[in-house]
Amino acid sequence: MEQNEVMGKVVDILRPFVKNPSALTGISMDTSILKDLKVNSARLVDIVLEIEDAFGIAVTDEAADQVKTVGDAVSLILKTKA
Amino acid sequence: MRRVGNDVVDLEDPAIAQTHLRERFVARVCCESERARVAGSSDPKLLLWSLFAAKEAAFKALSKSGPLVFAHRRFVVAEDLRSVSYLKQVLWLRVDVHGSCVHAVAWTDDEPPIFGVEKLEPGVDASAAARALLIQRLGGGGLTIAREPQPGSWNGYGPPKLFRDGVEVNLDISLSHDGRFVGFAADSSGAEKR
Ligand SMILES: CC(C)(COP(=O)(O)OP(=O)(O)OC[C@H]1O[C@@H](n2cnc3c(N)ncnc32)[C@H](O)[C@@H]1OP(=O)(O)O)[C@@H](O)C(=O)NCCC(=O)NCCS
Repeated sequence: MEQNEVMGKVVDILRPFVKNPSALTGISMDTSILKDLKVNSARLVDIVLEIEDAFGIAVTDEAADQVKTVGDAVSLILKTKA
Repeated sequence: MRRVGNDVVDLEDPAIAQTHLRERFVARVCCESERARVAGSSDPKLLLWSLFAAKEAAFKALSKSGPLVFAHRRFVVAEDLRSVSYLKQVLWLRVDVHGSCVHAVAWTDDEPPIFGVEKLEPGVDASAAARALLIQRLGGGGLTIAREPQPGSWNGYGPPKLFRDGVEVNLDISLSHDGRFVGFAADSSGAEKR
């Protein structure tokens, strides 16, 4: 799976959890999930579960803890699927 | 230094209306004994979010002493909701329900902290409201709250710290906001750092 395709899917997963949709304009690999998208920690758990389902992977607590940006999520998915 | 943490959850947030029924969410957040308690509870929604808030409060208190992986299920909440453990550390806990808001406060020492919850006025910024509530409870007078940049943290900033006339005060504090509520906890001892 290509990086762009994973990125697109990650953005689709994040979209319903982002309170202010304008935060998604200009979203990039550097966008911080907590700071820029203002996702709270309960929603982070939902996002991890949705990523597991969408990509058929298991995300450990340690791996989830390393995901701070959209790019971190994309890298984790590509690495786990490789 | 005595550490405190707090967390509020707005039970009327539509996003969490059915979450207690989702086994995978419950399993990601709760250890096995907690899952059994949620499954057998007469109010599984209230119990799940009480446990969640307790774990968040404990994480906020303990993560100030050094980097900590936030794995909710490694924070184990006692059945009576009076303590929460992480590995060998045990924190005191209180969980209060105010209407449709759950507020959990966790602390590392015998003496309980001061704490509070307030409903957010529509249109008011939640971070600012939580800060204003805490400063008002501490008596105002030259107090400010700031978070210093902390590279590598989840949002680039460290935990909130209290300052009096620009000088850091040796009093641990914690802020929280969710939906229509804001909350705080603060160590009640209050000796100033020199
Ligand atoms: C600290 C944390 C748990 C806060 O949770 P939240 O539900 O998003 O937000 P809350 O309203 O309860 O708390 C926010 C307040 O916590 C305080 N805070 C932020 N980081 C903190 C930290 N490391 N320690 C203590 N307090 C912290 C801040 O004062 C913040 O308020 P502010 O933004 O107005 O200054 C969250 O920011 C975090 O760092 N999570 C770690 C990653 C994670 O959740 N992993 C699970 C992945 S499944």
